[in-house]
Amino acid sequence: MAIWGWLFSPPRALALHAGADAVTGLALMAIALALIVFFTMRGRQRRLGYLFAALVAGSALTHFAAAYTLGSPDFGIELAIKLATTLIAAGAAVTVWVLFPTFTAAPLSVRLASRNAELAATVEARNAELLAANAGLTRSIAENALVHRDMARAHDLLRGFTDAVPGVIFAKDRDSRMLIANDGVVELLGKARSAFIGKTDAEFLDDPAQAEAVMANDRRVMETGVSEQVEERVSLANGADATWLSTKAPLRDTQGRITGVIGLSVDISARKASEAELLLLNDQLESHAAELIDTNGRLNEALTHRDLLLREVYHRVKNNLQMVDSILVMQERYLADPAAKSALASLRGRIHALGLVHHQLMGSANLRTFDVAPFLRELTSNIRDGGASHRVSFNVQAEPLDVGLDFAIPLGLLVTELVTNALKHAFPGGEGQIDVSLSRNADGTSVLVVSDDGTGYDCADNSSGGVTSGLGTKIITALVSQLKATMNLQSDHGTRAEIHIATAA
Amino acid sequence: MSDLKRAVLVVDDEFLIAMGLIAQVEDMGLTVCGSAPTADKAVALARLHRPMLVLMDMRLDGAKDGVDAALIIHEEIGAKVIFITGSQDPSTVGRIHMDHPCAILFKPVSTQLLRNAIDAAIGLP
Repeated sequence: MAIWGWLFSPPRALALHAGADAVTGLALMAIALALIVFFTMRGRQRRLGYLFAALVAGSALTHFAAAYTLGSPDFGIELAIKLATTLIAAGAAVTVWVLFPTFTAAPLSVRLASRNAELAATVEARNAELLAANAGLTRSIAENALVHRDMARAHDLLRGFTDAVPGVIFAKDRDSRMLIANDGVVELLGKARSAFIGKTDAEFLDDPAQAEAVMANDRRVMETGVSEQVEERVSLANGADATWLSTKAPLRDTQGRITGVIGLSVDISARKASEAELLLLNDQLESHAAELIDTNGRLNEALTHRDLLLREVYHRVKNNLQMVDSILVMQERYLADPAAKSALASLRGRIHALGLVHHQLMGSANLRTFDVAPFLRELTSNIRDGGASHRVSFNVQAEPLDVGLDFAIPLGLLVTELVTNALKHAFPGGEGQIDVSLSRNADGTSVLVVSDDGTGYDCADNSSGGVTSGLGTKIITALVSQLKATMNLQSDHGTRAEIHIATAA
Repeated sequence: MSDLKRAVLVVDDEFLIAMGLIAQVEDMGLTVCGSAPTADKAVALARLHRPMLVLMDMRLDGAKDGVDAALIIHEEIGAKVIFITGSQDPSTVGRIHMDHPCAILFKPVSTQLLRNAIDAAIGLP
């Protein structure tokens, strides 16, 4: 133990103290430096680190001070350093205890492991959730595909339906922008769908006036919410005029709010054209009818005028015949010869027959034809009244038959000649009967028969009847020929003249 | 009627026709007191001669016709009137009937029909 004694001997022990304090002070200073560097680099709990560093550095300084004071004791410096170091130590101790719960909560590795386990569990749970969600999504996608297929089918059906319907089908939104349009619209506009889907009529129709009218109808339907059937004019793609019968209805969402307008338009141009044509035809017909009425009026006027003229003509003919008759009457007064007087009387008879024809015409409704039956009765009656004998009876049989001037004049004169002849020659005793008949055959020809029950005479014998009879025969022959007739004369128990007339009445 | 002269007035604007009628009337043994071509003349002659019978044409010279004359003559003198007319249209015949004629004869008229009418009107000798 000599060594120990040697070492701890005062000079060396003092040097050892000083040396130990110096080395300790240097070590501590190095540690303080290391702490400052470490906490500076670490960044966290820097203040605490610096506090420790200051503590260690303070300790180092006490050691340096101890080493220094060993040589020349100066308690003041060491005491000051010691006090400062004690303050730092107390602060560090307080700080450590304040932070103690933080440090003691769990050692980092344990906490990390625990945390790791927690995380793993969380990840696993999340994974399971995700797998479940994935399954759900897969199902949902499958369902979605089904829905999508149904929707596509419904869409195809709608599209097929709208395209198949003749005419134009469309839907527009609240601002009249085209939403849906069928092939009819494509055809009508002659433009691709892209040219009008999402656009208004004002944008895709060429005629602004037509577009405005169509949009006005759309707006009205959307504002009133009432369906309408309207006629619209929208020209075809080739520019031809066209009229459409459009049925428009408000388009509503599930809440019943009007969101647009749907419509169906049918081209009624052909119908309109035929309507217009009908109207035109009607106008023409009415105008024709008016013309006809006018013409009719003028014809009636002309007819009235003609009737007046005809009556005037017949009147003048009769007046002139009366004048001739008057001259014959006066002439007769200057004649002494009975044959001449008789001839004049025959002439007057013929004139009266002509006058009677005109009298009948004048009394007829149409001034052109008259019934032959009353004419023959009046004619024979006049001849009888004009004759000397009143003991000859007459029998007139005539079918109702309308005759004109051309038929009645030769017929009347023929009857006058035959009856006058019979009166003159058939009845020497002054008594007898004369039959006159006119019948009509189905073929339009007629048969005149004048017969008597007298003594019989020869019409062609000029010698017996004198001048009058000869003239009478000539007249009869001429009239028969004029009527394209044939005469069959029989003279056996009276005379019978049968005349077949080919000329129609 | 009794104060009327047994005479006939002939009214016709056609001179030849009047002459013919006059001849026929005279041949029947009657007197003709005159002939007139107008209604006014006919009325004047009728007032002057007061004939029993007038043979009256319908159409006369001047504005008035046979009916105008016959109405006055019938009312003032009371003579009978036989109308002798060429016309047979309803307006003429209707007008004639205004005068209650005793006969209407249509031209050309035969002597026998004229005789029958006159005989019926005033009786022939």
